[in-house]
Amino acid sequence: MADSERYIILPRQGVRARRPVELETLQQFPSTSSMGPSKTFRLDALGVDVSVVDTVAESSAKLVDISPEAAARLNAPDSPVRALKEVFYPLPQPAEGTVDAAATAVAAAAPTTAASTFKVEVSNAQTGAPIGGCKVSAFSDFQNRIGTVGFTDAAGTVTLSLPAAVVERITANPEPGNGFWSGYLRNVPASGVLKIKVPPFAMPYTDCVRHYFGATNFVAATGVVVGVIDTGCGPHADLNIIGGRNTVTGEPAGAISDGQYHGTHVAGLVGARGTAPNGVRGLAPGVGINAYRVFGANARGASNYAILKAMIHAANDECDIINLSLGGGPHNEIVEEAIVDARNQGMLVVIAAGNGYRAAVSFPAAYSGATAVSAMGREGTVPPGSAEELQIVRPPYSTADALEFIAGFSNVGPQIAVTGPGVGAISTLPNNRIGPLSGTSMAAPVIAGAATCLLSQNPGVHGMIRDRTRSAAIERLLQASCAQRGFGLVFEGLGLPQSPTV
Amino acid sequence: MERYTLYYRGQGSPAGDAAMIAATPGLRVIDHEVERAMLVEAEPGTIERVRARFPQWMVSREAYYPRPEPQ
Repeated sequence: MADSERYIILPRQGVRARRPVELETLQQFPSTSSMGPSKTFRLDALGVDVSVVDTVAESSAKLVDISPEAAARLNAPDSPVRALKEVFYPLPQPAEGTVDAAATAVAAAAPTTAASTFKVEVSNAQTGAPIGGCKVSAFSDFQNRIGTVGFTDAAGTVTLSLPAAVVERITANPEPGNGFWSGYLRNVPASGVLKIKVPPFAMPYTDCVRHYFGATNFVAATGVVVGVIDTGCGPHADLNIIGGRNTVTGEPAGAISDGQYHGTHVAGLVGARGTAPNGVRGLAPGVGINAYRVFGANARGASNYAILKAMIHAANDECDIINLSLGGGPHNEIVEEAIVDARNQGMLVVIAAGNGYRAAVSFPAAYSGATAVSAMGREGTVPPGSAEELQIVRPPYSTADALEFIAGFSNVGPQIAVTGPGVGAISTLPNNRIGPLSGTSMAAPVIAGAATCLLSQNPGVHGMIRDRTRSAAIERLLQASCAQRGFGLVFEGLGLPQSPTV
Repeated sequence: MERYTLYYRGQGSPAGDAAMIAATPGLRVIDHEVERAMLVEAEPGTIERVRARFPQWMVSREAYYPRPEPQ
């Protein structure tokens, strides 16, 4: 349809038709699905041509392509429906998108400017050895996410092109668990050879998590159980996986091992029981973890149904605290309601705020009932030259410690409940590996771990009847432990929990 | 055919409702592993009739959250 734009057709009020004339009009739209072809028809009563792209229900919203004139007609006072322009949530990115995912998402959006081609060499900053299989993300305009992505070959090289003469930022991210942090360059010519030196990773190392939570007191005898709703967990010898379930439709219920590495990292921040010098210690070492795998082996993401099932199982399994380090995308009432139910069954629901680079707190973290967590960091807890340095963004400033910062990737907003360390957080990875990752996905389980320790120290709260009063009591334990750092409410909520050492 | 998540919000057992929903012509149950939730496949018109007949069930199209890709 020439000169058309995308609109959402709705009743005059609300999202479902209440009046017969609204229903009658909406029922004239042919049903179609987002996966199928659009269907064109003429809405005779209003004299407009409509191309229907997707329909939610007979009585509800339709996604259509229409001309501006048709939109004006549909919005006329005598029309039984209204046309609202389609809008997009900013960066509905994976939980730990940071630079990588952003580049992946926008590579195709680069404007057609003359391309500059350059070679990238990635090497070990200490030995100079090349690093193969390393993801390289280059941006000519990071704010507008104009960039490209490639992977290094065995010689540690990759050739990339950008529609600009200058690379604003370029990062090199070796496969997690392969013994490296990440490296970067900023504002370099998009020509010749760009050499990125990546700091190697080795234990022991005091990262941001251990800087703040190096000595926590977890009382295992209380019997606190944490549910991790993620990509699965383990295998890792330092995790105490006591149960869980794969809730992906079509996959075996018992397949709860990590299909990626994200869930294992999240679980380790809550409760890894490794010891120095080579192991890593979570906030509640050895806590029982139920792993609910909601990301399928080949699925495009975690469905609202898989998440709903996981939360129902978590309640049945009597989890006390559940962590969801996932988010992005539009509102979904099923997940919102599942969070309400989880709270009504006595569980604290900790959710990552999302990595949209100061975008609004993503769903489901933005829902009432969620404990939404932003990510902070501290200079000196990542090695010099690591790409985590790119996340040092000020303002806002901490009045508690001048070296602190709210991570550049962190989403912020009034729904933020607390903040937690999530820049260069070291934790477990599948098959007994260890490594650093960054994201609000890492900050959330640190908070879940802090809440786990606090609950373990308060058996009276743990023993309460599993209802909303109980989940509120757990929430209050967490809130009472927090101290603001001076960043401001929209960045840190009630602040950072004090290390639960007592 | 589109896929929908159904979530029982009422009091008491949803078993009776679930059986009747499953018997709805044109609707196919894909997953009903937990009592209070169902994943079904149906045309929008069919699901609208289910929604109207079983108001204690919340109905939403299957939606996805993206896979986390840590740094």
